[in-house]
Amino acid sequence: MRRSIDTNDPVPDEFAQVAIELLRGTVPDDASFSLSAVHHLPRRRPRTVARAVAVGVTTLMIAAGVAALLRPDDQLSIARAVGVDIDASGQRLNALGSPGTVLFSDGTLLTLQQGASSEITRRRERGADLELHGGELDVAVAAGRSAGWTIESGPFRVVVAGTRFSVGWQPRERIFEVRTREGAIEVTGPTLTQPRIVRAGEQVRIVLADPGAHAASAEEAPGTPTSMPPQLAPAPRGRVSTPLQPSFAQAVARGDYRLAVATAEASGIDRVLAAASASELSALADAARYVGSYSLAKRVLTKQRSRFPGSQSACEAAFHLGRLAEDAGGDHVAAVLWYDRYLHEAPTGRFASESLGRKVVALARAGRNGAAVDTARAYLERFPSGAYARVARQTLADATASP
Amino acid sequence: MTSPPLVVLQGGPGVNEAEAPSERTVRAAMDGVAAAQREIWQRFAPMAARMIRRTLGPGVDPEDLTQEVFAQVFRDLRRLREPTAIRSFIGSVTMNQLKMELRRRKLRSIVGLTSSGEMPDAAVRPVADDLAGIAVSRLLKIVDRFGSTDRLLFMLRYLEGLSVAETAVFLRVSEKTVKRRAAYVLERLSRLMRRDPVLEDYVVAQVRGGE
Repeated sequence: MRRSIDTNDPVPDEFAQVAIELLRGTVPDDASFSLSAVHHLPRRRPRTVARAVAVGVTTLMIAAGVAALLRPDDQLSIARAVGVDIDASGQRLNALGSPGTVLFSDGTLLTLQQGASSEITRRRERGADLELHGGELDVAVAAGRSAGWTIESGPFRVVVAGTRFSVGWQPRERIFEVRTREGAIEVTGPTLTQPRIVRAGEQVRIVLADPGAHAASAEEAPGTPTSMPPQLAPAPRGRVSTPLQPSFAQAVARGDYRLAVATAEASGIDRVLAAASASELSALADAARYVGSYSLAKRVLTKQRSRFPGSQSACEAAFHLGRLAEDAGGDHVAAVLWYDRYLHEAPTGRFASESLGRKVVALARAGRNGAAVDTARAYLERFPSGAYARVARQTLADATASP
Repeated sequence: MTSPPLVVLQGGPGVNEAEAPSERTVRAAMDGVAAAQREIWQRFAPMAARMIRRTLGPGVDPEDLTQEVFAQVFRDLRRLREPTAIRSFIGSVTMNQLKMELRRRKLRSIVGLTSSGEMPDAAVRPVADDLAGIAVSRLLKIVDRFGSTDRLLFMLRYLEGLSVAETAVFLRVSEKTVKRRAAYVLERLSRLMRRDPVLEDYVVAQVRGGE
């Protein structure tokens, strides 16, 4: 009983106390419930015919309203935004304290770095025109759907002809910068006499000293000692030193699991496995599990154990490997071995109860009923009111009932 | 469409919900990751189901309402600003659903959807074949007379054993209100029990037996 004592907290008299004890006894704290397992969302069932009709009519009305709203322009929409402030019109995007992401309905992902501010000036079915008011923007356009995206950054215009790039604009310093990681983009602007294609691994940085520089072009007059020297500096392929793409750990922290896995893969899984910290590997393993990349999750967890032996993260990796063995491949024998490993390495660890409980289930499913009974007894001895206590008791009861 | 498999979840303070999910799990659930939502469900569904049965009666099947609670939880999870507050969030949603359910039941009894005037769920309560069972049946009738907030407060504070602070968070009222209403609920409960000869005899016998 977790009741606390508070000042002026009323104390039940003997009648109320008896009532409390009686009513508590009708549904004990450790009562078990047979509930349908949740897959995605719990199913909702209309409770009455009247309610079903009301819900149906309301749904139709809402659908009609939404359809009426959407009919004039079947356009790109924002599917998800994390860490980004979007105004009521849905046009202005401002990064909150840390980098934020916006996922569009065509699969394009924008990452607004801290302080970045952008505005959607026009939406199309696929793609949109964006204006970058300031700051830095990472763009990952969904493959094959790039034609519709353009980004205005100060006086420059970026037409997307590739897939992944970053674009920055610092209005006060009048610095435009773009780096392409995959594919190619086309840049036009006042200092460029013709559209410039910036390919994967290339970087272009243009500094405009003052508004008059709009008329100048680095390519036309490179190094001209004028008061408004534009600079054009294509970086050699592969020499982009500052990773503009947030790390996979940051992506996991923001809940972008697919991006986390994609980022790790883009960086090279072998490199990530060799260099990432224990917590980063743990984050990547979680992300891989969440998006269903079980083979990657297994690789990461295995590496976690080999690189950080004896650490807490290595112990917990054993538990997660057991779960993976069950969830991904239905390999109950392997799962039992991993749970044993965890229980050996961390007998009082935070997954001890769950490991032992899962071991009971895995042993039973593997057909090792004798071992399942022994483990069930061990479980009840250690965790008599644990989450798997009912399963353990049932295992014992089944064993007693069978000849 | 095949029905989802039935699973047995064991609940109770200090069991599932005490093992709070990690912040990462909550954030993943907020993003609609099925595995994370399942974990949240496994940890907190027993809590919600237990509260539902303690409020509506031990004979009530909590399945439907628990599903309703978690449908709303997963729909509104994005509003949760602090992932560590997941338990309070689910508790608040459960209380809202229970309030609505209590109002629906009240309305059904007023408009006479049941011929006896008694709420249908009373019929599925366990048959009272001993003195304690009879006392429980009569107590449930007394509790049925409480307003929805008072009923939930009684359940949270005295059956679930939550602190004043936690009860206040679940019900979205001040701690002062919890204390004030708790005093009223206990006084009313005791008064109504004293008016019932069966309950009065039962309590007297219990108290004497304990002396």
